[in-house]
Amino acid sequence: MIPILNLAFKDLKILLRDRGGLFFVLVFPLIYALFFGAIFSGEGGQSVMRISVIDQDRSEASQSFLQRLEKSPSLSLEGHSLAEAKALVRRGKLVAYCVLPKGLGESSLFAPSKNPPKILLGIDPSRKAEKGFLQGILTEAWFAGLQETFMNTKKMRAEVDRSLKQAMGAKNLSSVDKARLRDMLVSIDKFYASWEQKRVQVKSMPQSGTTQQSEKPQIQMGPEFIFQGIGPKRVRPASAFEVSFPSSILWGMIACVSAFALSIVKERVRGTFLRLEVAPIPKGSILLGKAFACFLAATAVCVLLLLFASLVFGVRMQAPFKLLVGVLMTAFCFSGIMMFVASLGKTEQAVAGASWAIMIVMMMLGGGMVPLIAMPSWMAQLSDLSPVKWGILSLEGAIWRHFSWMELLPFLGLLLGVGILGLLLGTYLQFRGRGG
Amino acid sequence: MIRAEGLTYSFGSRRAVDDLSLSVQRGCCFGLLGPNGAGKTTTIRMLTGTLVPDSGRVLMDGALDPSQKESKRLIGFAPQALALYDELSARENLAFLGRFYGFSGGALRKRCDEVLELVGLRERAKDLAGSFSGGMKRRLNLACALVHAPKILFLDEPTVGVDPQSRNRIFDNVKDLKAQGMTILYTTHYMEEAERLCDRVAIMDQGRILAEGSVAELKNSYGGTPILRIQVQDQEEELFPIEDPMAEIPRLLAKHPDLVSFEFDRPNLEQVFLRLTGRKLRDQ
Ligand SMILES: Nc1ncnc2c1ncn2[C@@H]1O[C@H](COP(=O)(O)OP(=O)(O)O)[C@@H](O)[C@H]1O
Ligand SMILES: [Mg+2]
Repeated sequence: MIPILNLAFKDLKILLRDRGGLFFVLVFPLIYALFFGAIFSGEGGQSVMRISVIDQDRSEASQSFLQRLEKSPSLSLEGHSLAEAKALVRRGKLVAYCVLPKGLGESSLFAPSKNPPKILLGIDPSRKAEKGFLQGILTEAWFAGLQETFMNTKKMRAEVDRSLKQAMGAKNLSSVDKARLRDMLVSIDKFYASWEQKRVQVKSMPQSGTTQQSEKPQIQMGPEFIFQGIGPKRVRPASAFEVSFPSSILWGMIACVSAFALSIVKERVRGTFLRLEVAPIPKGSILLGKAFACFLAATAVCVLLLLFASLVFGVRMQAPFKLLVGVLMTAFCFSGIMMFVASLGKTEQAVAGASWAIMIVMMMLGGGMVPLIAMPSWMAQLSDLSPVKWGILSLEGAIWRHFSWMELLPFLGLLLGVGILGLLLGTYLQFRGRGG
Repeated sequence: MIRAEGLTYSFGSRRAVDDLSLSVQRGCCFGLLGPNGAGKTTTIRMLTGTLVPDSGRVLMDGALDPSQKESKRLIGFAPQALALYDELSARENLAFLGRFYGFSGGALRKRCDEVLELVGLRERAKDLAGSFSGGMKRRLNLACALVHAPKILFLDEPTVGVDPQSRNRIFDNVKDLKAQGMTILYTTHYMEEAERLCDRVAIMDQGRILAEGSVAELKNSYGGTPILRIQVQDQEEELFPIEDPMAEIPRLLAKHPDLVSFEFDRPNLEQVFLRLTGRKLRDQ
């Protein structure tokens, strides 16, 4: 057997028998992914939707509509210009924007079907659940306005009067429709008139109209929603698990770094390295075997976690080949880092301390603890320096971010570069440390 | 078989081995005897090619450099530290090492069984090395050095921290291996071991070899004369330096009919060491 394989298989066998090591390499990342995945998915469904309403009408009607929206517990309204709002929706900071166009208040209550009140909505088409929900809230608010009007008889009669005038003047209505509409509006007017009288003279009954119900009038009562494009399609994870699993994989990577860096020192201290140095194998292959074992373990951790994520939580793998490259490069990078970390101390305690300190900082800056989106700007800038971030982005790039090769390349390149650097520097420092 | 010339090695400013030369004949068991810190381990590491000397050179089997692949196949090495993987079983430890020497499949299994048998661990083959006692670990440590049937065996303090049974087993193993013609370099700070096992002994202190020869030669040159202690009834113990005890005893009995007991202190390597350094081999 090739010495490197023999060495690597031995290390993997040892890792599999080491419960503590296995816990940090595989179980802890899984717990992390499940925990944070669950926390953030819960929040996604129930949170208040942030939307921006742009009132271009500035009429009494649009203002009262706005006021009603503000009362909705499911919405949080923000004031932005249309351009700002569009950009915010694209970036996912707002769920949607909503334009109340000029003339909204003029379009009367019982407007002819071919000219219903229009509300423009801008929403990411992939937000299917929110889209329906939002449409429902807006419609409800609209009808709540109608209800108010219906209950206010004076207002109602003015409204009917206005509608009547508008309907008679409308050019796009047939004379039959006009007649029908006139009949209906007149009867409604009478109804309200009698209603007003009824308050005073209880006896009087409203005259029932002669309007036929046989033919359904083609009149739409609710507002018409017109969905606007929001520009280039915004990519977003389908679930919180598509974010939590890539981060958890990076936890697995740093656990591999720690486990294998420690095993190098253990072999140095116990004397098994000495024994290997006497064996007829190239000197470099001893360390290379360790790096290879780390690489295999790291790759296996990636694959297992991704399989689990995909089978159980439906985490997508939009670009499987890119994902594979991302996995291999990430595993390689952290194998190199492992080699460097192993050269940082002579005792197990020293290396364990050094490795966790370095790894935790990398993890914190790289988005393994604070998600990249939630970082303050100074931290986001520093995070570019962390291999953890490169790893997360190259995995997410293939899972849900729709990265092109050009977008992936910088991260893959950095991972490869740091991997090579770590291997060379770590090997050099360890050879020097052994005094020949 | 092993030849070292002018080996020197320093850890920083501390000189661990100082201009050391030695030569071990084929089939000889060569003992390197010295107190802790004498430089035995450092010497072995240079001889096995795991440490490059600051100056001097080592030749294996006439011409080979110890770091060459060919000479590495000749060498078996049981380090002073217990160089075992605790998480692997005894057999897995052996098989792992055996694969580096081209063993595989049935041949590997057979070879592992042989060495396990040799050190008396055949029944414990499947147990994890981590579950072994100190003595068993020492024996497995020895087995690991033998798995590829080397021609030259380096044993660095192979009996440290070992129970008497394991110790005897290891002694027997070493004797057997010597009988099979293996060349052995054995380091220890127990003079009894060197006396019992080694054909030639080099006494080492502070990185240097102070004296070298067969055990008898060393005793003759540095041990001083044997001492006879006799106890006669109602008298103080008396000490006589004597050259030839065999000739002396009949005369002694004739002279002291009321002899209670007598003891004969032969010179040992302890005394040799004391003579050479003015210190004891171990701090008691
Ligand atoms: N890795 C090391 N770093 C520094 N000094 C060492 C190292 N190994 C051994 N020494 C020193 O070298 C000297 C010889 O050590 P060693 O060869 O281990 O002696 P022995 O095996 O005879 O007990 C000792 O003084 C020891 O302190
Ligand atoms: Mg030693």
